[in-house]
Amino acid sequence: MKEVLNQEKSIYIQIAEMIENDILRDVILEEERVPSTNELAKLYVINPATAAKGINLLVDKGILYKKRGVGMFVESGAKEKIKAGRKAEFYERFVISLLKEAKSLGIGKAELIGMIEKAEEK
Amino acid sequence: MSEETKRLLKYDLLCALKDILIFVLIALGVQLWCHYMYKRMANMVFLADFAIGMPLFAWGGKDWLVQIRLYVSTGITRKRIFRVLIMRKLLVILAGIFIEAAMIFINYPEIGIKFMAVSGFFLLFVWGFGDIAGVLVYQRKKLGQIFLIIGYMMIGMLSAGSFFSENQVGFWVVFLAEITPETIAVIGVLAVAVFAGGICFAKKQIRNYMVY
Amino acid sequence: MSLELKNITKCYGKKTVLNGLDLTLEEGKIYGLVGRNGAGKTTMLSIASAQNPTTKGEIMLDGETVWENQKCLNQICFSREIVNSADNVSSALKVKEYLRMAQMLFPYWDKEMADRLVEEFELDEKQKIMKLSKGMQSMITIIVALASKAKYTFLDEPAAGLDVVARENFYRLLLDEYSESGRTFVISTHIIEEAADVFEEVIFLNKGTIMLKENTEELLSRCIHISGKAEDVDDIIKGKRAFHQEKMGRSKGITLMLDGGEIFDKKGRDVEVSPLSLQDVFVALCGREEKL
Repeated sequence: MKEVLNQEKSIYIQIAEMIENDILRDVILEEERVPSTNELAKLYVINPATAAKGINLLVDKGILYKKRGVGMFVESGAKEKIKAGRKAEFYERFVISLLKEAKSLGIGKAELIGMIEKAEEK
Repeated sequence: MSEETKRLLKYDLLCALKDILIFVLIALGVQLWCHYMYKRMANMVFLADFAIGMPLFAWGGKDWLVQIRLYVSTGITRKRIFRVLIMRKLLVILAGIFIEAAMIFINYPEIGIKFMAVSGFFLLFVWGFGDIAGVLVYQRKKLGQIFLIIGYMMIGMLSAGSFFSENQVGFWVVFLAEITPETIAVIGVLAVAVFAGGICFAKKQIRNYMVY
Repeated sequence: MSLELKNITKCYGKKTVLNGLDLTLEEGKIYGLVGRNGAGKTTMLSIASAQNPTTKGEIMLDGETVWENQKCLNQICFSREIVNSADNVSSALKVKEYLRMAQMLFPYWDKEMADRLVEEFELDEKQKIMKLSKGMQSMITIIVALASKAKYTFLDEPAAGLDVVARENFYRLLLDEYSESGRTFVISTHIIEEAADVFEEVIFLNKGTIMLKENTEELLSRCIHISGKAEDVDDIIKGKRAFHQEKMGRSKGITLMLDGGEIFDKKGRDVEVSPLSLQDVFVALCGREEKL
């Protein structure tokens, strides 16, 4: 779980992403309990309210659910959901900006595909 | 008495006893010194006044610089602090006078009442004067330091009288035997005025007490 | 449930330190109090805990006046920074004596916790406080604050003199106590960056008034830094709250404070947008003032 927080993004988003990463890497399995807000707060030395915000973000996305009096658990099917979400994000963050940058450098579609194929060969 | 007052009084008396102990030890040291050097005892009664009077006066400064600050910063109301300080000083004076009374009536029954009056007025004066000096020192006024020196000198001089008294019946006992009730009354009025002034001054100032 | 400072003015002689300050501290939050030297942080905490009288204004706890009200005062603990000076009390005492005093005078004192912390910080109880290093003195104020168990607890520069390990240790202890008890903490600090994530809300004190009091996350999400060609930047910031501009040749950088909920619009200009740390925001707001 331990990754280092940085200043680039809001802390609660980073917390949510770290839990997602752990689910993707099978560090936390589906239907398993995730660390509580207080545990997260102590681990990362952050305010519990911020940790709770991160957890709630995942609840809203349907990745976590609450078991009364026990804690937060990973939904079954969460891994797929995260992957789908990440794919959409990948498209936005990398593909779109890749094309934009390519365009400003005057790289055509064929050349770009050629570059991708070359990179893959390595 | 409320829970808070009890708690504070308990702590305050513990501190006070520590202070008194120091002066009692000094008084005992003086006794030993007198015994070895002059083969006699210093006047017990006046040494008792020293052991009570000195801490009583010293508390003027110490309360304002130390105790009140400590109590205010632990969240105790100024009213309660003021009350506890008065209780402590009153208890100590009463205890002191009680011990003196026992000694004086055994040794010099003829001047007992006079002595009690003069000694009582003396302690009230010391209390009031100490508080005035303490407040002034707390306010960082030069006058405060001067008052402190005057106060310590006065108590020291009065107590010093006991060293040079012959066989327990020295100058002070003679002086007390000669003193007229009128003179005692004048001393009393003066002492009570200083005492009342000191208390009123302190009560007014404690409301504005600031922890720096 | 809240502690309110209402229209507080405090003057020391002719100098006005707090000027009509209003602040509400809600129960169950950790507040970070940030301000430059002389901004009035210590004075504000002294007044909020009724250790010092106000010149004007009032402190209320759940609708009751705090001044000379024992019931309210029992709920508040301001653990002062220990300053070595001739007329300072606490520093002449031994650690043990000081903690015994605290144990006797604080109504909800947790002795077990205090003992545990003394051990954890490796403090020598027989030492005189004035002989301790600055960091160790800070540890004592931290122990008093935590073990006081007061519902509203204020700490003035608890991180001062602590090494980086001890600081992180302190914030962990604080979070531990906070998540267990839900007490309210106000912590003043100059080391903003590492504490930013601990604070649910930050309070910026500037020249004796509250400049800003906001949820830390929200504040950071609406403060951004923009840099680019001067005319592009100027166009974007038109009609917005901008601070702290820096200019170099044709380029210009500026800190922008968006309104809550506002989404930043580049207006199609080619500018660099980057997030800011709490320290950056503080410097921009309380540093050189250049409102445009």
